[in-house]
Amino acid sequence: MLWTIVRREITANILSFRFLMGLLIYFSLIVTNLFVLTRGYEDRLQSYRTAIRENEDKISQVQRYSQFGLTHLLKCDRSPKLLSIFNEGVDKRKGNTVTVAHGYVPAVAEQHGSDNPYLNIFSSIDFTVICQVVMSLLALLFAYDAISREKEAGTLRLALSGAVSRPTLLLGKYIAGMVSISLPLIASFVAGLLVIQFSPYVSFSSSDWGRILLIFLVSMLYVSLFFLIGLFLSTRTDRPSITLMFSMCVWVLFVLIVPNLTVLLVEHASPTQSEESYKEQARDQWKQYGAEVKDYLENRSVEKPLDRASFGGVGVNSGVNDYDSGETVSVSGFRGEEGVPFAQECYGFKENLRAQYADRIWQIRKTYLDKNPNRQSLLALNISRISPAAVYYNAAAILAETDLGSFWRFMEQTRQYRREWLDYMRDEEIFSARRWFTTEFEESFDLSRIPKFKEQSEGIGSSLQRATLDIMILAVLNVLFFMGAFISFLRYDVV
Amino acid sequence: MIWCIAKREILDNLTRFRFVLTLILAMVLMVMNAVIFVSSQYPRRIAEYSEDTRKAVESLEKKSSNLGELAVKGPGNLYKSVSPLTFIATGKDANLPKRVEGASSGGYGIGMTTPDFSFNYSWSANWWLQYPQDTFRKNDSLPNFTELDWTFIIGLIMSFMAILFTYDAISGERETGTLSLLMSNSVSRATVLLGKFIGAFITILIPLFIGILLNLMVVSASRLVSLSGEEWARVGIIFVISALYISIFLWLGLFISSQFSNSSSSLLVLLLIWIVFVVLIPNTMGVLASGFKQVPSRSEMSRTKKAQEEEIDTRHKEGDKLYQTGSPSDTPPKTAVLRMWADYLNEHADAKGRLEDEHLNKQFAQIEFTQQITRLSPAAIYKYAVESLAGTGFARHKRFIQHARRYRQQFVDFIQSEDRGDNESYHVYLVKEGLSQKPVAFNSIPKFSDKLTLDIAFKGAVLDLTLLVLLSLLLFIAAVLGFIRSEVK
Repeated sequence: MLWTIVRREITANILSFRFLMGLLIYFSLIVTNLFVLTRGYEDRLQSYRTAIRENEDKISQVQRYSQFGLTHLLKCDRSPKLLSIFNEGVDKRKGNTVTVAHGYVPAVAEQHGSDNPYLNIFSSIDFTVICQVVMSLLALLFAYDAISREKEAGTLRLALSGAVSRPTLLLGKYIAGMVSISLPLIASFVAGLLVIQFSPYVSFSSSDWGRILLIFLVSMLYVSLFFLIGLFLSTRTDRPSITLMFSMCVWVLFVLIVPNLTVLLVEHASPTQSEESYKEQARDQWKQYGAEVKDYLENRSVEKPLDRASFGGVGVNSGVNDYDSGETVSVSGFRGEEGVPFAQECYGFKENLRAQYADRIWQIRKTYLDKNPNRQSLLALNISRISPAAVYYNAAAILAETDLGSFWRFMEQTRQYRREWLDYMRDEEIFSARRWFTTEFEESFDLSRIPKFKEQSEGIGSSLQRATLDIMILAVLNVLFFMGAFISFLRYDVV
Repeated sequence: MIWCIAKREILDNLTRFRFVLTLILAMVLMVMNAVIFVSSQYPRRIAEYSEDTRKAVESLEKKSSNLGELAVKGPGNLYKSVSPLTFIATGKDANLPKRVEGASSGGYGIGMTTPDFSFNYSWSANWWLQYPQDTFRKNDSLPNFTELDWTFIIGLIMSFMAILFTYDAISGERETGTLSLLMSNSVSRATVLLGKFIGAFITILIPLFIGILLNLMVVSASRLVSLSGEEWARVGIIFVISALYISIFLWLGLFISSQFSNSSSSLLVLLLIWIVFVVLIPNTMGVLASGFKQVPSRSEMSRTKKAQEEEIDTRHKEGDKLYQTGSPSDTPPKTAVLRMWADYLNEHADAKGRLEDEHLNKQFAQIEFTQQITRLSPAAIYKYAVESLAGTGFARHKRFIQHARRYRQQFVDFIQSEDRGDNESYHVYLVKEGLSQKPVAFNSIPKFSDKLTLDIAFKGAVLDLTLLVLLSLLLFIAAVLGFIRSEVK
């Protein structure tokens, strides 16, 4: 019996005008969007490769080791995420190249590539957002009159006077509705995958396929939720037009208003302190560092490690801003070889100390970040979970590795890499090497000797684990609304 | 007769759920907007702005003790003033840079002794206009979709409500059969349509008007913002534009409604049109346009810059001619040396300034191109029109950059005219030693001002305003013709 109802409903749905319109619009949107985003991905991939090549070129030009501290900084690049085609998340916003130095612990990422920062004034939309906005609307449009229309037309009475029980009818309507809606969804996924596959740059790994499947399932869960909301509302009223009105209100509220409002509210109700507070402390730390170095030199009764007048060196001092820490020393034309051993000893002391201070400053900065922007972002994320649309987006972002958590993971890896680099420098006694400051070494630097940054992507299992909360929320809401619709329909006045 | 129909429509609408909903949404969102604006957004921005400008003035005052130094170091930071009408259209101002910088960066020193000559000079580069990406926005991890301002409330929510008010105006009456009843009277179809329009227009304007009134009450009660007469005029014009914008959707609703015999089909079509034109087009074009019009990347930029600087260096330093004759810091300096160095330094500053200007112009061209494409959407047109009047957004930012560039010339002219007044000066622009070393009266230095008059604001909005009027007219004609040609049953 259930299948008769399902079949009837599916035929009715698919032949309906709204299905055709919805399919058409949704499909064209998705395909254009995926096409555009694939192009964007290709661009980013290219600029990622260029960035890596340029960095390697630059590093191989290092002649004095001290250049690693300021002019030839090591960079860690984050590869663009393939699934950012489906969900952009923070991938474009948060930057993708990180500077590492012994005197600087990475905390922010910069943007490489041909970006135009002014494009930030336009908001952008990806696959998930289209799904979030259009599919939810479509689901509501399918569900709003499922019950109330039949009542209005009088067919509900007829249907229930037969051997069909109410639960069967409701279930039949739900299954049929979901099948009809999943058709455009599946079609869009397939078309999207085709569009992406045409790109010469893209090849999916098996874990990518797994992620895509998961994103699809989460999308289904999300769409189903809105269908159930529509069904529930449909069992609460007698007239389809009223159901439609209510459904639209729910939609506007949860899809358009709440996700935007939470950001705004959090930004204003729980503001972040300006970076100045941390920078002030950082400056103090550098002052302290300067004092310690001075003490060290005074104890040995010298003014400068290398007397500029006799060596002719150039130095640039470290600052508080990102990327300008360290010191490049260039010494040529010795007038006295006897000063060199002391200079080596002195730089060895100084640079080790600088690395320690950088760690200390990082601790200060970490506290600042945790208490301010990071806390704010998490708060906004948690509050936005009021809206299923935001929950869905977040789950998809985690699965696509484009969420904030993935970005933080990457930053943590760059800090780990700095540790490795530092250990290497200490093991090789690079700070106290003669090549730290003298220009007598002509041969270029051998890249293969230094540790290389390797970005480790997150396993699909751990992504799924992080997405569990959001998926659970969606599932629970699904169950709740199904029960709501069920109970409400049992008590529904058929006449 | 029109009024009779309009009155009937109004009375009918007033008792409907959608009216209550519109009223509640308009009131709540408008009040929320005002409260957020006066309690944190605006005071914070103003505080930051005044702190910034205070620092800028201070540093300018410090530099004014020596004209030569002032000439080299430049005017410092120039800040964009904050529009008090930000609550009407934020224009994503938080994502736009808040300043440009007229400063020099980098100091150099050269000391050399050769058998032929000995040279010693340290200098800092001449200033040029730089465009740092320094914004109000503190936390870039937060998503940036839209902000709660009038353009969001009216552009998105009210346009949606306009559709809900009209989708069944004709198709609904067809469904219930009252349309044929109505038409059997001696009313023309145009009259019916106009009556329905006026009815819906008035009923949707009531909640909007109440919302705006509450909003403005909160804003002016806070005493934080005191709007001048001119600004009130702008608010008035914005209200008119908003009404015009809403009328577009009402006509659209009536047009579609007249084409369908059942109200849910007309609603469906309207919703899809609305989604595409109001939600999707303004939000997808950013990515699309960046693919069409490329901007040179940062590394490309820095390569060009480096190449140019190297070219200048080799040309001037060829055979050490820059060092042989003497240093600008000699006392007294030779005029020939000063001129040579001034040429060298000017060329550097000019090259850097020119490159940055060109790069910025290209970036702006890309943005303008994108804006042109987004004008496919009435919501985007409306937003741009309101932004021009509110003095926010990209157009405003571009004007700010223009002001800054004009000020650059003004500043240079001032330095030169001031320098002419000093007889001890060598009048060589621009090397520090070649200019007067006397202090400058701080008050005589031209200050950067970034004011926007109603006149200019209105001119900026004319294009978008015309587009809105045209669109409204077009849909009006479509609705009338469509209704006349449609069946009554």
